[in-house]
Amino acid sequence: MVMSRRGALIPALALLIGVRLAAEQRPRFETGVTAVEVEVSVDRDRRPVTDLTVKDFELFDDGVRQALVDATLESRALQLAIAVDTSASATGDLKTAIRRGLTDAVDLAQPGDRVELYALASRLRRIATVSDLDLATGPDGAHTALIDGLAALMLSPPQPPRRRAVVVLTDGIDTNSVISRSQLLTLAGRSASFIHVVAIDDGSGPFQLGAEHFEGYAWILPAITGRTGGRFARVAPRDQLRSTLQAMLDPLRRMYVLRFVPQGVRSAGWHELRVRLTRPGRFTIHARTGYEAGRD
Amino acid sequence: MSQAPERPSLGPHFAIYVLGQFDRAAAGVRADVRRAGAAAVRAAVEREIGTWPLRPGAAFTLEVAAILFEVDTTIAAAVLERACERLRRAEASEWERAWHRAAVALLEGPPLVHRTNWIGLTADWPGGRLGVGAGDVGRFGLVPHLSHVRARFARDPEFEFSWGLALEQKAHAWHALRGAVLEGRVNGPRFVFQKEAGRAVLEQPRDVNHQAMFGEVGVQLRDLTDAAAAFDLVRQASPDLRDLALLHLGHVRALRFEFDRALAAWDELEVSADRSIRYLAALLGSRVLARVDRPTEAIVSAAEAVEQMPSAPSALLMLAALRAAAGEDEAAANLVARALASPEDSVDPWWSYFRGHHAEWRPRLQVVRAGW
Repeated sequence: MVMSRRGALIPALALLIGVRLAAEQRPRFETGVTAVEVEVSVDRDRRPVTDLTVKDFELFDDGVRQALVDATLESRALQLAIAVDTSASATGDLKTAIRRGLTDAVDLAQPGDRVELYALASRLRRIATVSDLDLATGPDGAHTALIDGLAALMLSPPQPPRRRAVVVLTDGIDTNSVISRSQLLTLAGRSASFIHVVAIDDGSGPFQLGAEHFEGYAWILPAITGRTGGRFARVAPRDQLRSTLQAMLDPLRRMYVLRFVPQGVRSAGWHELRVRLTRPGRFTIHARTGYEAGRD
Repeated sequence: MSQAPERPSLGPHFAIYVLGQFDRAAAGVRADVRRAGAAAVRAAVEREIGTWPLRPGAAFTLEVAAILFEVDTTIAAAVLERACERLRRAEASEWERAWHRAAVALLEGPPLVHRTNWIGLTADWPGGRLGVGAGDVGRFGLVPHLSHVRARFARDPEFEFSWGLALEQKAHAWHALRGAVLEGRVNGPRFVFQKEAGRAVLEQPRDVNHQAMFGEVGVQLRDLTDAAAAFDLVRQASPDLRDLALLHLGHVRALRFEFDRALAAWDELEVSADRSIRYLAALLGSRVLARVDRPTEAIVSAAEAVEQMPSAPSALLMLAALRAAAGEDEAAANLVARALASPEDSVDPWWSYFRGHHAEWRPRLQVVRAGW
């Protein structure tokens, strides 16, 4: 969502942030360690805005305006985890598109980045090289545990100082996850990784019947990516994926880190975040939609 | 141990085996070409098989179907149905029972999802348009086949188990397609899913496509009721299948939102002699316990599943998710690392939960070969 006037709030669905805890990676409201870090990218006319100060930001936690401790622009390399669907459903044009997307994502890595590759079917498995994808034909190849795989990727911790970005290339079909969607939503709210999902719609699978089916089946994908500060994209097999992937990854390299100590909000559970700029102009702010705070 | 010499298979005498070789060598060959080959074989079999003696013809058809399943599950199921039609015109026999046991094992085997299987949701089932689970075309044939078999071999525990399994899978897929397995809700304005007196109630889908896909609510509930009855019969009638039936009965109860009864069924399996069943009961139990907001017990149950099968990824990830939700991030990360490091050839019983007796199709086929 583009801000068109001074002081407009950014609707939650357009936010794309990263939340980190200054000391322990997770909010711990009951022990006094309360600093929360929210990573935000800001652009104007598709160009990053890099001259903002703490006075330019306003942040709302569950609707309550918070006093920002500081806001610093931090450039970091990426810990880039790329997971691709290798299950039985990923065939033909879909398989070709997924492999092409993988190559594009690897190409987008920059010096200093660290790249991890994963194959996803009934299980998530780490692979060493792109060519290892063709070897992923074990007893787990028939099904897709997309939800379980996303959970595993969320729960793998970042290795500072890099920002951890996860890109999942999938047809959106899940057939045998054991982790529920509501569990995944909770995990997404706690994730310190930016989860991006590229769903390749080849006219079959969960997208075959259009938007209504998508709501019923695949709604979880944009929901969880938004919670982590990542993005969801639905593309056709013949679309150029490189620009989509670039739009996902580039903003993560330079982000403002907003720090605040939550005040006037409940301790545990889901916290909705909203960020706005006080500076006039048409800016696009990307931030996560909120975070999940747990009890000690 | 010496074995009786195997009776020669009919298969090598027929060109159908060329198709099998073709399939193995044809990685990358267009799927429609392979399906066209399978359709041609089906036509040839259907044209010729009527002239054969009953048992050799039925045995040969079974062998053909075993190969065709690798190419096109719908065509394979149709070939089996043709042989089944001939068998039904003769007096029932123990050999026919063996033939059906092999056929059912084959029909239980296709993977849950196939690219074409979304179309399968409007399949005709006995009693009306009910649809097939998770879009699994291969299971097109299972329910009509079992409806014939159950009429000829009434209350046979194995066929009753397969019947329950087919209905359970269909109901599970219906939930899964809507993203609502055990969750009691979906995030879409057109659906209302709620718990009401222990029954799942779904607002009738308004969109015609959804009506085709999801069928009617009453049908889904009837499926679950019928599945529970089938599993209940099996657990009482067959000591061999008792634990497996109880495992599935618990899952069916969970799909009916009868969570306490589901957990009670799985509790009985803590002493099962089958490690896979102990694993699955604990794994499914953890999912239900999480659903009913009993996180501490869910963690205990998931940990039990991990103890039963330490390298099975599903249990490791479920335990990781539960511990992460409890704020134990480091423990969760370690469990994920274990799941990722589990051996390449590790097998998770959850992956074959819905595949019934498929793993036994080869020895069952041997029984058919030996008997005709």
